[in-house]
Amino acid sequence: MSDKKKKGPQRTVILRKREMTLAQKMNTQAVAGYVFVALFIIGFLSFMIIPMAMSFGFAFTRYNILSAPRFIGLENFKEMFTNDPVFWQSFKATMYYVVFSVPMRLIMALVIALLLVRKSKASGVYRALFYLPSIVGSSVAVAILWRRMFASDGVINSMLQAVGINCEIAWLGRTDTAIWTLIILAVWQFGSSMLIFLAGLKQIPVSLYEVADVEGANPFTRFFKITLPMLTPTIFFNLINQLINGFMAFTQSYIITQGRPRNSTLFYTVYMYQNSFTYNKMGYGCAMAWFMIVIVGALTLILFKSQNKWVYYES
Amino acid sequence: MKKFIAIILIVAIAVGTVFAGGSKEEAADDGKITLNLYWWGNQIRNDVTQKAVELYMEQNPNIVIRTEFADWSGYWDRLSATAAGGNMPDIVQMDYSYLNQYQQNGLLADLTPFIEDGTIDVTNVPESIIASGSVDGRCYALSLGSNAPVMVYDPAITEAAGVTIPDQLTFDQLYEIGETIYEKTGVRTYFDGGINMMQILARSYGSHIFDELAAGDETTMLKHWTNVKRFNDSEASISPDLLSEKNPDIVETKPIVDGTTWNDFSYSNQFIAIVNAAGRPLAMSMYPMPDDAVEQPMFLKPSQFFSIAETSAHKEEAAKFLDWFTNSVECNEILMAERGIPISTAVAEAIMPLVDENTQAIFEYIDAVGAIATPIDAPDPAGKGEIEAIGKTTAEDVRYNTYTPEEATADYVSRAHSILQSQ
Amino acid sequence: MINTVIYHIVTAVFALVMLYPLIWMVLGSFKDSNQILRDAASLFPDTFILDNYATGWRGFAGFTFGTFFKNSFIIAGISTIGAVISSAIVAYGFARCEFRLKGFWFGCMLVAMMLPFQMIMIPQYILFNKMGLVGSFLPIILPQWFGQGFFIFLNVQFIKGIPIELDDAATIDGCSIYGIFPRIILPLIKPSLVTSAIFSFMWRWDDFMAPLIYLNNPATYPVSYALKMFSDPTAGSDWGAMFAMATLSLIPIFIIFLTMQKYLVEGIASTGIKG
Repeated sequence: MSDKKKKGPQRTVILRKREMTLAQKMNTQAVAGYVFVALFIIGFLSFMIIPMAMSFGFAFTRYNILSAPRFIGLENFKEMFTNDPVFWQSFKATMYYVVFSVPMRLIMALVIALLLVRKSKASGVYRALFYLPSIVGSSVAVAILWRRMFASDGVINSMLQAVGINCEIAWLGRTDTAIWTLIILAVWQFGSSMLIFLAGLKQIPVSLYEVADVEGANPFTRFFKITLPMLTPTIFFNLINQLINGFMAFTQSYIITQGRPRNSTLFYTVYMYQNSFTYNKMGYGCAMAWFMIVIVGALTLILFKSQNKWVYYES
Repeated sequence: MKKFIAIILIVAIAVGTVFAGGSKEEAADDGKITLNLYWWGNQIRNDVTQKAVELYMEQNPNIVIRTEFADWSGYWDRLSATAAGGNMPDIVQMDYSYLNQYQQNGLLADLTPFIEDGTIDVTNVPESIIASGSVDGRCYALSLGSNAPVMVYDPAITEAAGVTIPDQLTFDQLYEIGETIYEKTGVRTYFDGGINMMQILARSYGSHIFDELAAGDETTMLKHWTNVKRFNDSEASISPDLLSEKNPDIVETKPIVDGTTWNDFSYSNQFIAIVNAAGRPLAMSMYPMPDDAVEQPMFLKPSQFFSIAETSAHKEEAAKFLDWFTNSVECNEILMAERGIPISTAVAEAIMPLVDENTQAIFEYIDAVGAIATPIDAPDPAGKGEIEAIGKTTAEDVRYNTYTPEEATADYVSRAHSILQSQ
Repeated sequence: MINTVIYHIVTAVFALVMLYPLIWMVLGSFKDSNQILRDAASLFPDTFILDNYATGWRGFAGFTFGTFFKNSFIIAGISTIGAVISSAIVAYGFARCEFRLKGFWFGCMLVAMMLPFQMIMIPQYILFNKMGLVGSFLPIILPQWFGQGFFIFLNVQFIKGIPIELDDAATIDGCSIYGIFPRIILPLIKPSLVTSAIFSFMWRWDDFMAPLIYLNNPATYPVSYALKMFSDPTAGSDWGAMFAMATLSLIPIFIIFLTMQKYLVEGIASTGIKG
């Protein structure tokens, strides 16, 4: 947030205006800000803060849900970092997934959004078609579907054979390919990012393009001088959001591969969930959750700090 | 703005309705006792259980039973939440692998007094079945049906290969038959590398797997991983990547279903589901055992239990319902052994002629196992879930040749040992 | 002209490839359960059957999918209205006002987004249980009415994209901060409001975890949760029925998307504001 710069003058304004009427006071940003954000703060304090604090506390306990937690200090973290190979396997699998799926998904979404932004009757239909894969979400039906598609006698191999590649790979059975079935699923469901890009593209004032047309700009200049800079807030949002989503990805791994084979597709969150509920180590699961928050939080913070280098805001 | 106000009003009304919907439960049934009954299952189980419950409420007008059901994994998430919140349903379905944890944490009511005073009539129930739901001599869970480990096979394929499968194979026989079948038909063999096979193997030598793991004893595990390796290296066996792709953990994707293998390993109560998924007749044989076995490893296992929550305000009424569920022929005519063969011999006999041929096959199988079975291992320790999961990856490590059986043994035993130590 | 033809051909072909899995799923709902799992490569049913829909719709223990759909509409509908309105209001505060601890609260919001629901599920259950709300829709719906991180963040990004000169002009005309929001900002962030609405509805519609934890009466189960109950790892699953009901459950989200997406087309571009 860029509030640091403005804090100075803001304070003096408040001091100088001590004599303001209530109505005037209400109309300062300092007060109005809280009025608008109040809803979030109330909700956060009533539904989130206690559960969050509790889960943070559990991270330092041995807790099996069924009986009272017992304080064990940093034991969970020590176990995690030094004595749990599966923890690192799941961390690696998730990193791999994030590194490949996030950029691919965003680029796919952006390209398709640019194709579909033009106003034509058909583009409405196309938008719907491209969005459809995303609405199926990650239900059990998708799990079956995906397993069957990538089966050794499935449609992916048949298609490869049809174009002359003699392929009988058991995609889901190899440690090097199984994770890719999940990455492809993520890329296939690019609809939500596409929708946000479309909304972002629609917000770019036409007048800018009109000016560019008058100046005789070619499509490339238009894209790099107007579309891309104006779209950076949306790109920024999508990037942060996909990053968080990528790390929090759960269902794909949980219902499609269950981590198979050899934990190569065991997502961090799945292992965390297994620890918390299946292995009755809620304390350990919470420690994992907060470690992930530190990692994702740090990445998010870096991106936020980098904003003034590449994100362009109108205001 | 007007639109906005209109929306807010609509929402307010809607929220009101939701509130009303949420809080109307108890008001109507004055003087009646409400029992909450919670189970996991599929469409058939949900339907038949609900029907049985309705019959019970008809016969006992002072009892209202509110049913809740979920899928398997959701069931345990929610049950632990209710346990943490102190509002567990009065009667809960229980599994052998969770029994120990819930009992140890004092969440289950002791059923022994109800059995002793006859509220739950067990005159027709074998002693071993009551024992299977008992911890330290007190009964905390009443079995709803008997179950046994089973090797399912495709009789059409074995016939085509000219082999016959006896009631119980030895490992060597299984290996040889597998080779013959592959030679004659091209169909492959599956060898179970999971916790059930470990259990059977340990029992064959008069030992118990979790005792060994708790003591850090490698004897059985070395034999087990050597077996897994031996079968995996056989040309006749399903390849590890295909096995991982098929995933034998889920009934419908078991490699026997689409004929990739001629055999699979499971529990007898899954037999019908496997047959349905395969869409062709299948047969049952007992789990194979080592050639030098000193003891019969086969055992009967409760398919699932009903337990009463320690927090329940109506334990007596809940116990009466369990009695009816166990002993009423009328009730079991509705249930039709869906949860496993009824534990009351009288009820089982009455139901037998009514069930379809696959269920009858299970009846016969359970009878055959019951005749030779040795007592089941003590309820699983709390670390079982994690040990089982590590076992699955270790089996993959052996099959993908990352580990030799010796390495697998050392790694697996030490990890299982430390898990059991930390419980 | 040729450009347009190529554009349509390329896009259409690509769309079809994208849709293949979906078509497979829909056609799967007309297949025999066994065929779904055994003939992976075949797209069309051997025999076209409607049984899956009949068995599926029957639901569980006397509650049909009619009940489950009704519940899903209540949960997803009311949650969405709340999430969209509250998130827009909160976003305006974050995007346009400078106030104390703003960074802190925004940080709280982001952390809340990063914490998986499973990890706060148990404490939150205990909390709602103490409030006496377990068993009603309220634990699922209520939190949605206090702003959702994702939608707040989305709206913030969009509001920041609106030229500040518009606000200044309104202030000069005597408009207060509270007046600027509904008069200037709200109409201009329609694309992000619509996007929020589409996502919110879809996510609430698909979510089964919160209903699983908080609902205790089959009469109140939503579709997402009911779908899970067709499969049981031990007692066997009815994939045909599940595919049929999963297909049906896509229709409402798709209709919401279709009706909403046309508002995406008219963004700032068509409101005629010159920057």
